[in-house]
Amino acid sequence: MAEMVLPQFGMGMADGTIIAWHKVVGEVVQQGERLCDVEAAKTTVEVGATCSGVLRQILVAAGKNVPVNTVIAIIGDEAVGQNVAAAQVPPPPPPTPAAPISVAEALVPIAIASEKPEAAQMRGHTGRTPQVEPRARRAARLHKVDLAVVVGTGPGGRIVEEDVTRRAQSLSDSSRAGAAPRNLGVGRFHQFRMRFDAGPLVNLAEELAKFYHKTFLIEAMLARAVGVAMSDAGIADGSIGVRADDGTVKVLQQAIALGLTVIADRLAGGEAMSMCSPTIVVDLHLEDWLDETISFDPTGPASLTFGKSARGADDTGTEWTVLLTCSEQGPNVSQSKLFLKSLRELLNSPVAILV
Amino acid sequence: MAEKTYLEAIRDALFEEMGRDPAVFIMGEDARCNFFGTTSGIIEAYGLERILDCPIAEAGITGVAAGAAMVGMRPVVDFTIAPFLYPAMDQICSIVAKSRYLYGGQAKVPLVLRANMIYGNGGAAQHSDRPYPMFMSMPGLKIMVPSNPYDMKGLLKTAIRDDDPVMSFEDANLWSMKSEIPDADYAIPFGQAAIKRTGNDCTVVAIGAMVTLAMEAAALMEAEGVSVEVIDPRTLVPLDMPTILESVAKTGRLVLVDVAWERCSAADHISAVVSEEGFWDLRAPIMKVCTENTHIPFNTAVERQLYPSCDRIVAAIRKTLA
Repeated sequence: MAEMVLPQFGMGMADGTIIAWHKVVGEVVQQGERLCDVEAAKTTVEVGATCSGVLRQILVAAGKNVPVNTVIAIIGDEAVGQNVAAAQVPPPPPPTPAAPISVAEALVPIAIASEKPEAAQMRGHTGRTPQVEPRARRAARLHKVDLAVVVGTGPGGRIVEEDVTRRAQSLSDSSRAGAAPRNLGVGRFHQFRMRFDAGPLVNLAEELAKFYHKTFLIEAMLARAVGVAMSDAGIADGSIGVRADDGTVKVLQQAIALGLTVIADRLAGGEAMSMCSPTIVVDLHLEDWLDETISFDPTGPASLTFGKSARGADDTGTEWTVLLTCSEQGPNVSQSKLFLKSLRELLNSPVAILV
Repeated sequence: MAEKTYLEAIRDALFEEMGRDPAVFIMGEDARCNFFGTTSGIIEAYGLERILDCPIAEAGITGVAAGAAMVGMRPVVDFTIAPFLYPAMDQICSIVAKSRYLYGGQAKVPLVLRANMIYGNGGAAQHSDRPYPMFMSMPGLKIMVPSNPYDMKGLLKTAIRDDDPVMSFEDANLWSMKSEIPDADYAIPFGQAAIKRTGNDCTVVAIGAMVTLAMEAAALMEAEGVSVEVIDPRTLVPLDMPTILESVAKTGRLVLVDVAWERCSAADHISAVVSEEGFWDLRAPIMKVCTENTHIPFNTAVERQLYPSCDRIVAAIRKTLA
């Protein structure tokens, strides 16, 4: 019998929200196997089981926010029955007001589970992984949806493609994705806002500068990350423009294929202006705070504006905000979501942009 | 346009091609006596020297035909029924199929081997075979299995004009089937499947006479609100997999109907290719409706239960939806 506590991902993390449980009470878990997702201030982390056994209790329901080190679950010995185990081990301290919750409750915060409670309960009852049709598996890969949290509505509870796409839709619609579409009321635009920690990217730029003995502009780092994310999102014709302080735009043609050092050299040198409009214009306002009240008028298909998150005048943190604004000629809504999702992953661990 | 039967379509293709190209001639057992009705008027039009009656020696017939083909003739060999291909197996597989390759392209074998598949009427074990899958596994042979008179005529013309050996498997249960046939000359290219009916819920690929059964099953399913797409591959070598894969990408479900024995059937082959190349499009396991892996009994009541039927196709479609 072991207690699982809410982990602390960094010194600054005081609390976290359980986004989803991937196991139900009574299921066998292996050490390290994905047990739940925890969202902290700056990141969402998949939390693995600390030991192998049977998930005996879920003490914090999905959707609840609790302080770090709060006991969130009890994992029991697989071989020992629950009653025997309970007799041998003193009852867990009551760390939260939350009472131990049932299987059905554990699944409620999942958007689709609430639509089909009978399906959720059925699956929880059997505890068996449902069948997944191959095209649902493909959709899950495409939309990066974890099948463990999808409730099947097909024959015999089989997960079908529509279950996955619905889940992907609800994920990107929810605040969990860190981005919500806005209607600018000017033609058919869409806009997404996302906050991220620029610390890793700034640190990497400094390390590269030491190694190569030359400056790696943050613009170059961002342009490279944007190129990789465009490729991930399947945005064709991946040219990137970088707007300079004087308003002129340097264009990197076929930027998806360009490595970081090439981008850095081109931006540092006098790369000629291109007549064609780049797919995405990167615009930096790093001296400004950026909030969602700022409106933009992209002249090309899409613009991506970076600035510090508005947290107050004395904020010295590294949290930035990025606004993606796309016109009808730019990436569509689903591409934009995929793009931002990929961009956030790259900015969280920017080493990937060196590949 | 005129309505013609399957047999008339065969006869017309032979007749017209013999008129078009003097190198075309017919060989076979009981060819001159118009045994099945596919050579009406040919002796009168082209004379005895272009339609040869042969002794009951299929290996010899095939060897002679292969030799004639290699020196510029275009023989059409009538094997009467498909199991009679077996005595000629060595000639078909070692000579006909391989010569163009063995001689580095210096020899070509423009030969058509026609074989009727007569089954379902008490032909018993030795006469009821539908053996086209055996020949699908032999490189160098093209294989057509026409499902209607229009295709029969158009494909047989392509076969006769083709510089490679072609085996034509003709389902005798279709002999009296009629379809509109254009007066003008036409040929149907090999490797182009026909979409007989479009649908969104399940793809049924049916071979030869099975197309008719599949269309009946599709009509029954439509009454239940299930939209079935029926595809006729028309030729098995070359096989139009892109059309099948595209359909499966749309429907996510596949039922294969093949009157050959199930083991290593054309259905097995198509199933394997879709599993490899179309797996992520699937919503359900691929179903096969084939003939049971056993010999064909003389008793027709027992015999007919072994072959695919409309009921079995409907059951398979339902299973992909369950």
